[in-house]
Amino acid sequence: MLNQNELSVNMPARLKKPSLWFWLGSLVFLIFFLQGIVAAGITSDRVMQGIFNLGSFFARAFPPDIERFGSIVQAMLETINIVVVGTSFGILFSFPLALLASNNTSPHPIIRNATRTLIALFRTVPDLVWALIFIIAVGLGPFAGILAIIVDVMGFCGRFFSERVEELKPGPIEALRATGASRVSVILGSVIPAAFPSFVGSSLFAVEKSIRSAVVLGLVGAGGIGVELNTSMTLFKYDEALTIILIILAFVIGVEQASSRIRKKFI
Amino acid sequence: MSLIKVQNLTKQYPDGETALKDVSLEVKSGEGIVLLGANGSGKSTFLRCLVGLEKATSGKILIDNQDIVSSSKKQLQEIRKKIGVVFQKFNLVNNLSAFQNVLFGNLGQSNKGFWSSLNLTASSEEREKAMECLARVSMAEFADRRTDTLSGGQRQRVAIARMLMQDPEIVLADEPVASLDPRAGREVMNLLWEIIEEKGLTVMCILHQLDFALEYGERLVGLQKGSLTLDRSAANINKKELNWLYEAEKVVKNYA
Ligand SMILES: Nc1ncnc2c1ncn2[C@@H]1O[C@H](COP(=O)(O)OP(=O)(O)OP(=O)(O)O)[C@@H](O)[C@H]1O
Ligand SMILES: [Mg+2]
Repeated sequence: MLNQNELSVNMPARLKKPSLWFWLGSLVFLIFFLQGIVAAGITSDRVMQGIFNLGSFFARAFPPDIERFGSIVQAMLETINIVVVGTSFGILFSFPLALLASNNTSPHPIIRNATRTLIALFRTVPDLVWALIFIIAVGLGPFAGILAIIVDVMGFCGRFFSERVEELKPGPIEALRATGASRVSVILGSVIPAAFPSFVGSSLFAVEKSIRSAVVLGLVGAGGIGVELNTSMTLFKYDEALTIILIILAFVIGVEQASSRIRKKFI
Repeated sequence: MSLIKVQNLTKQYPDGETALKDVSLEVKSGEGIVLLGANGSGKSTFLRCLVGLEKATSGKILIDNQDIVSSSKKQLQEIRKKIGVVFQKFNLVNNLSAFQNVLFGNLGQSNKGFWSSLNLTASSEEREKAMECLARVSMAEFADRRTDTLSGGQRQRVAIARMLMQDPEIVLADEPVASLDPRAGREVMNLLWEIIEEKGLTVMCILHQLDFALEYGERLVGLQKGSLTLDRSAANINKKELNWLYEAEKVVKNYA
C-alpha cells in the first residue's frame, strides 16, 4: 500500500513550469509584435482615413463598368488557359516525381533525397517569385504563368502524392513483387490503383489553388486577368476593376463548387 | 535432388533482432511441409527470405539450384516466378476487381510486362486463363466485384486464384486461414490442398492450428526462437509433442 505522503509526491502538477525557451520565445514575439505596429505606422487616424478611402473606392466603383466586358472576358479566358495547361502538366509531372521521392517506391536513397529537396524547393518558393523568374526566362505573358503554375503544382501534388504513397499498406505491393514482377509493373499494378482516389482529391485541390494563383500572376505580368486588374487599378478605373473582381469571384466559386462535387463522388 | 535447399540461414533485422539462427532445411519436389512455432519464432521471416522479400544476413537459399541470397535483381525476379505466395491478409489490390487481381498473377510471367496483365490490354488467352482460375476456386460469379466488397473467405479464394494464374512450382503460405472463421478456414484449406495435390506442387505452409497441421502436413518443421528444433514426418508425431514446441518457448522466455 502507498501511504498518503507518497501519493502527493508522485501526483503530477496541474501545470508544468514553462521552460526558459518558452519565456525567451514569448519575449522575442512580443518585441516583434510591438515593433511591427510602430513600424507600420498603425494609428487610429490612419485607420479612420483608410475606412473613408475604402468607402470612396466603392462609391466610385458602382455601378460596375461593362464597357470593356469583351476584352475582360478574353483575359479571363487566358487565365483559364493558364490554369488548365499548367495544372495538367503539373499533375502529370508530379506522378514520377512523387514515386521517386517516396521511400517505398524510390529506386535509391540518393534519388529520393534529391527529388524530395526539389519538391521542397518548388513548394517553398512562392508562386509569384516563380512567375518573376520565368518572366526573365521566357518574357511577359501567359507562357511564364503556365511555367509558374506547373512548378507550383509539382511542389503541392508532389508532396501530397508521395505522402499518400508512403502510407500505403505494404501487403499488396509485396504480393505483386513476390510474383516476380518488375518494379514498374508493381507500381502500375498496386501503388497507383491503391492511391488513386487520394490522387484525385489532391489534384482537385491543386486546381482550386492554381486558379487563385493564376489570377494573381497577372499582377506581375505573367498573363491573364490579373494584367487587366492591374491596369484598371493604376488608371483609377475602379468601376472597371469591380467588373473584373466580380468575374473572378464568380469563376472561382463556380470551380470550387464543381470540384467539391467531383470530390464527393470519388471519395 | 532437393527443390529447396536452405543452408545455415541467419537473418538479423537492422534493429538487431536475430529472427533466424543457422537454419538448414532441404525440401524435395512435391513435399508438403507445415511450419510451426510460437509467435515471434521466425516463421514468417523464414518464408519471406525464401522469396527474397527479406534479405538473408548469411547462408544460402537454393531454389532449383539457384541461390536467392546472392542473386541479382533480375535473377531474383526469375526465381520468384516459380514461387506462389498466399498471405494471411490476402494482400489483394482492393480498389480493383477480383478478375484484375487474378490477372496480376501473370505480372511476373509475361515478357510483355504490365500490359499483358491489365484487363484492358491482356490477350484473350490470358483473360480466359484468369477466368478458369477464378472458376477453379468457385469465384467466377464474383469476377467483376471489387475485392474490398468480398468476405474474408472469398478474398482468400481470389488470392489463391491469383497464385494459380502464376502457375508456380512452389507454394508458400503464411497462415492462410488465420483471418477466417472455422468453417471458411476449413473450406479454404481443403481448396488449397486440393489444388496443390492436383498440380503436384511443393508447399510450405505456416499454421497455428495443430489439428490442421497434423491433418494436412506430411512433414512438420518447428522453429523456436529462430532455431529449427523439430523436423519430423507427421505420421510419427502426436499433438502433445507439438504442444511442447510452444510450452518450451514459454519456459525459455520466463528464464530469459
Ligand atoms: N521488419 C522487422 N523488423 C525488425 N524485427 C522484425 C521484423 N519482422 C519481424 N521481426 C522480429 O523477428 C522475430 C520473428 O518474427 P516473425 O514475424 O518471423 O515471427 P513469426 O514466427 O511469423 O510470428 P507470428 O506467429 O506472430 O506470425 C520477432 O522477434 C519479430 O519481432
Ligand atoms: Mg508470422
